Order: sequence, then C-alpha cells, then structure tokens
Amino acid sequence: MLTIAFEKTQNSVFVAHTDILRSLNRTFRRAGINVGYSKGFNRHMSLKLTQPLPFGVASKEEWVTADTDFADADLALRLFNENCPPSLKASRAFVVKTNPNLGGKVVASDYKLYSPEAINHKEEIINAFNNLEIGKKGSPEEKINATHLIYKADVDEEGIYVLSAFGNKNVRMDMVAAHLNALFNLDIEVTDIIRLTQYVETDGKLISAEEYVRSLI
Amino acid sequence: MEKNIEKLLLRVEKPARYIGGEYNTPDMNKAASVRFCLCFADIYEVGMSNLGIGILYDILNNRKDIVCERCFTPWVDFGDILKENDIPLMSLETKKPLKDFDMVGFSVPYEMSYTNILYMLDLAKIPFRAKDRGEEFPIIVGGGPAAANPEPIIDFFDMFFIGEGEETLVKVCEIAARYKGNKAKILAEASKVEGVYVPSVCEVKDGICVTKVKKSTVKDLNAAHYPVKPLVPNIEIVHDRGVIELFRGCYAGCRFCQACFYYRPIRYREKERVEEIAENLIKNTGYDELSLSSLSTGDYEGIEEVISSLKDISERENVAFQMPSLRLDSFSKDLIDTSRTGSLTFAPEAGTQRLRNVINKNITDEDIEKSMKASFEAGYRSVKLYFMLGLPTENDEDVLGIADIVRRIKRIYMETTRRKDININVSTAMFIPKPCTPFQWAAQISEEEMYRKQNLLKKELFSIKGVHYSWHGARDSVMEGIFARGDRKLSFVIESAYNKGCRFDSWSEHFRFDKWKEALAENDIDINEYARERDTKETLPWDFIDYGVSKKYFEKEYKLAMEGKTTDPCKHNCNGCGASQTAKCRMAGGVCSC
Repeated sequence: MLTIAFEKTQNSVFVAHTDILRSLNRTFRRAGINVGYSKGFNRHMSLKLTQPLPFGVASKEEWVTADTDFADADLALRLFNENCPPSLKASRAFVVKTNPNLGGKVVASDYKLYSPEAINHKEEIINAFNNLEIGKKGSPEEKINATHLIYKADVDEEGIYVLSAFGNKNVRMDMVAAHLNALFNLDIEVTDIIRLTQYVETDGKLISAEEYVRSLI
Repeated sequence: MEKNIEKLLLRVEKPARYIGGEYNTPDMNKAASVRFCLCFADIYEVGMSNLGIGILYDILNNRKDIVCERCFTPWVDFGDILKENDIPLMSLETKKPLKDFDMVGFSVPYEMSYTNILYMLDLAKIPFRAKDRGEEFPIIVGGGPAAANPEPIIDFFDMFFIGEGEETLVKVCEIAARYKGNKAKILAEASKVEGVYVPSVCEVKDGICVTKVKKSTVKDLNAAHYPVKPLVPNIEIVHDRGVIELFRGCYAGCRFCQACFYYRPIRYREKERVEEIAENLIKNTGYDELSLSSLSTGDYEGIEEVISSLKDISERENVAFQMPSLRLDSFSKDLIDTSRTGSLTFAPEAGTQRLRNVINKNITDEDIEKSMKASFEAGYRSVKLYFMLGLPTENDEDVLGIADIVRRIKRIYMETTRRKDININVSTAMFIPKPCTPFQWAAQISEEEMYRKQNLLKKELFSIKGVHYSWHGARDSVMEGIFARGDRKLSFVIESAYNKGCRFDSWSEHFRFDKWKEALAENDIDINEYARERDTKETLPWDFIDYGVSKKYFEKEYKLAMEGKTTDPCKHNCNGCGASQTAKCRMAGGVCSC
C-alpha cells in the first residue's frame, strides 16, 4: 500500500471530487505505479481518499491510498510529482503494511480562514466559537449548534485558525465563514479557506494523520 | 488566478471549465513572435473532445516562436457574469483578453454554433464584422467543418481556412510575424497560401465569390504531426479518452455525407505509426481508454493486424480500445472483441434497400442481419441505430421500413440468444443537403413534412417492446439547412438573431426558433429559397471552392441517385472523383482515373 499526502490548491479548488479522483488515477498510470483494480464489469483503480472538502476550499493535506506493491516511497513521491497536474503536488509518501483507512479514521481537521480584518475582532470572534450556530448548506436559515464540534479557535494577523470535527461529524468551514462574515462584516470567501492538517483519534487524543500513517510503516 | 475572477467562478456551473492548468500544458511564457488564441464555438467539454483543436494547438505550441492558447464559449452563466463585471473574454492559460492576441482563430464545428462566434466576439469586445476592425484588433480567422461553405459567416472573418489547417496555419502565422502591425499586408500575403480564403481580396459577382480557392490537404498523413502529449482535461469531457486518427477520407461515397468527400483523398497512418502513437499517448496521458478514429474504422486496410498489436498493448497497459463508426458491411467479431462498450452503434441510414441505393449506402439487409447476429453472439444486448428522414425520393414505405428493420433485429436477437431483453435505441436525424456532396442540389423537406414522417415512424416504433426512439428536432434542422447552403446575406440574419438573444443554438434548451424566424423576416429571407431543389446549372455560393472532388462528379452521382443506381466503393477501383489532384489517394492502389 502506498499512502500519499498531496495538496489541492490553485485551480484544483474548482475541480469536483470525482474529477480529482480521475486525475489521480491518470497520475498513477503516467507515473508507472501499478495500482490494483476492483473486480467486476466496471473496474476502477483501487484508490481511497479522505472525505471531500466543500467546493472552493483549498487544502495543504489531502490523502490518497493506492493498493499497490510499489515499495519505494521516495521514488513514488518523485514519480507522482513528475506526473501530476501542477496544483495536486504531493509532499510525502509512505509505504504502509495495511490500508490506513483514513477515510474512516479522520475525525478532525484544522483550517486557516484568511482575513486581514479578523484581527480587529479577535476577542469577539473567539467568543463566537463558544456559541456557534451556523446554517446548513442548501438551507442556511436552518441553524445547527456546532459549538461542541469546535476544538480550538484563534485569530492572528493572517486570519482565523480553527480546529474542528471532520468526517462523520463535520463542520463546514464555508458555513462558519458565512456566519462570521455576517457577524463581523468580514469578507471571507470560500477560496480564502485552506485546510492545514487532518487528524485521527487514538486513545482519546488527536494525532496527525501523518503520525498515524507512520505507525503503519 | 486573480481574486476577482476566483470569486466570480464560485457563482457558475462547472467553474473548472475556465481554469486551464491541465497536465501537459506547454510553456506559455516563452518569447513568441505570434500569440494565437484558438477558440472553439462551444463549451469546454465539447471543444476539448475535438481532435482538430488538439492537433492545431500542439502544432503551434511546438513552434519556438508561437504561443497558442485556448478559449471556449463560456456557458451563459459565466458569460452574463463577465458582462455584468465588464471583464473581457480571456484565454484559459494566461487569462489574456482575446483582443490582445495577434490572431484569434475559431474552429467552427457546425452551423448551429454561428451565434456562439458572435457571443465570443461580443464578450471579447471585438467588433463582429471584419470591415469594422482596425489594426488595434487581432486578425480573426476561421476554419473547421463549416469551411465547406463559410459564406454565411465570412463577413465576420478576416480569413478562412478551407480544408486541413495543419500546414496552412503555421504558414499564415509566419506571415503574421513577418508583417506584424500591417493587417492589409498580412491578408494579401496570406491569400497566396493554398487553402486560405481572404474575402477582402476576392472578387465578388452578384453576392457570390468568384475567385477560386483551393482546399489545402495534408499530403503525407503518416508523416504529419500528431499530438502525443495532449492536454489531459481536469474535468470529464464528452470524449474523455485518447484518440488515434487512423485515416482521413472515406471510400464508401454515401451521397449525403459531406465528410466523406471533403476529407478525400483517402490517406492513411500506417500500422507502425498507429502503434507508436498508441504507446506514447498511454505513457503521456494516463488514459485507460483510446479511440481508433476515422470515418469508417472497420475499413482500415489491415485493421485486424492493428487490432492484434493493440491487443498486446491493451493487456499490458490495461487500456481499452474503442472503435466508433463501424460500418455494417465491414463489421466483424474481431472488431468488437477489443471494445469495452455496453452497446454497438450502426448507421443503416435508410429503411429500404431502394432508398439505401439512392443514397449509395452500399449495405444490404443481409449485411445488417449478419452484423446483428455477430453482435448478439458476442454478448451484446443493446444496439443503437441511426437513420435519416427526409432523404431525396423518400416515401412512407421507406420510413416504415425502419420499423421493419427493427422488428427483424429483434427477431434475430431472440433466435440467437433465446432471450427477449434486447435494447434497441433508434435515432433519426433530418436529411440536410450539404455542399460538397452529390446531394447539394437536393431539396430539404418542409418542417411540416418532417413532423409527419417522425410521427409516422414514432407510431410504429412505440408498438415494439424494447425499443427507444429519439429524434433530432425539425426546427433546428430547418435552420441548419438554411445555413449549410447559405450565402453572404445570412450574416445579417445571424447578427439579428444574436441581438435577439440567440446563442448555443445546438443546445435544445437554448434554441429559439421564434427569434430566428423574426431575424429571417426582418432581413427578408425566405426559408423556401434555401430549402428548394437547385438546378445543376445554377452557380452555388460555394462553387468558388476547389474541393478536389469535382462538381462534375457530384453531378454524375446526383443523376445516378435519382435513377436509384449505386456506385461501387472506390476501395479497389477508382471512380474518378478528382480528389487525388490534391494529394495521392490510398484507394485503388493509388491508381487514379481522375
């Protein structure tokens, strides 16, 4: 198994999840990394990704696991980067014994919401996360209380840092941005949001997905 | 990408259409003496499926001194946003406004894309008509399948490429670099290049161009440039696979088919070249599906050897090979074994042998039945059948003959498989007389007659279980018929229709026949004048084009059609069409009686 961390930035934020999967499929083929296929009439390459982000949100860390016997992580990283579209570059690759199943294991993510004006409302923004009622995508008037799903929030010169639930329980950062925009007259667009890291939970605490993957080497 | 454009992209459907950045994008930052923007008059997913665009883009960018970018018609949501925000239409790669390029070239795929050309010019803030554009605007060039008769749109262009643009376009770019800043000189020099039609230097009599323009033809297709590192789209496109063009032209000689004659003489890519292209495409794109493309793939000489060698590649690289355009008279089990489709597609075109003889579709009922049996034995449960309605001399018996064919196919399926679960998809298009065909003089039936025939067939097919029938609209067929054999007067109709809001006319949800009729009426255009049968002695608006295939040959074929007589395919004996005057023809062993 090969698990690769890659970024999804620049133009890729406008590419839908299924198209990203197709791009990865072709990247592996161009790279000459033989990935297994599913059985059945409509065979597809055996690639596992973590759950997709809202449209327009960038990411420094997405993960893909490929069912392959390819055993050289450094070479895999180089080949991937030589053959991928410019905005899907990989930063790390690991050869693991078993499928890390990050799609099921990831429970949290942290983000940066870029906003130079946020620092002017630092305290109020941090307080707003203590009682966070955000709209649902598609029906923003329907509010849900997401307070318990926010694990950390902070504000600096660049903008707002948030660590929140992701996966089965998920806080959509685009809806958080919309809520903060309404409260504080900020102008955070979806494209101003970037995911930084993904986390899994072990023994009741959050560890980075990378740390978890390394434990499977 | 600029922040303001990013924000706007969040408001549109499929913003990835407008971002560029595909894998294999060439260097856009090299110093260039000519910057060319290659436009396609439809959306990204359609344009990126067009092989011609891919070939021209690759040829130009492979030149050290030329940078070629792309632009596709923005969908209406993005077009509206560009207008609202006063942002001029720009290229995909560097987001450069179209009007800042040296040349802007439009590939015009079909007649119903004409308003999209104006839409793009409008969004780019470029005046529609060539006469209204000064030195500050790029040279606007056109080409593509619509070049068989560019007259309805010629007023919008500074020049038009007739025929194959691979070699011509480079020559014109060289001229543009040499005489940069002097449009008149560029046009004058370009008009001397074979295949280049420059209306401003042509003589016109009674509204018809009389200066001869010879179609340009790639002489050696095997040696011709072929893109083996094409752009790999970031989103799913209509034909989302690699394409290998096997050969150009077609020996069958179906009398309605413009492509058959327009792309003659028949020229091949040899087996070794096909294999080389296949290997490189797979390596450089990562596609798991390649299509062997031509007008009639099954007719490629040595197709069995090609399939056999591609089978090795297929197994090694886990790639499927598609073979569209299989003819019923050259169909074999070997051809379908390699294909990974759920259904096979055939085009009998007419419901009776009599009418198939008129249109020179040299397939018999026996060919149809044999091919169907082979398909069903190979395990296919679904077939698509294409027919035309409104063909010259067609009567109701011919229309009902389509349903008879369908019933026979169903019976063959049941006899072959002992099952009843066949899916037969029948699709009919309306016959449209096209220039550069023996039927260029034939009449097009009226809108009312189109509906009558469709309803006649619908009633029959709906009574057969397992059959799904779809039909091409009558109204857009009427418009296509007008433009296909149109003249320069129609540019005013196109402009009027665009100003009334017409665009994306090949998309049924956008086609506005009422607006087109208003535009026709405002410009005193009588539909019947364009739909009528033409006298073979008449001067036609496209007569100034030398296609290679002679007008005399077309006339002879038209006469034979009216007598219900066929002409043998020219695979073994030359029929003297004249095409080999433009390049050596592969068929008849290269022995030409022209």
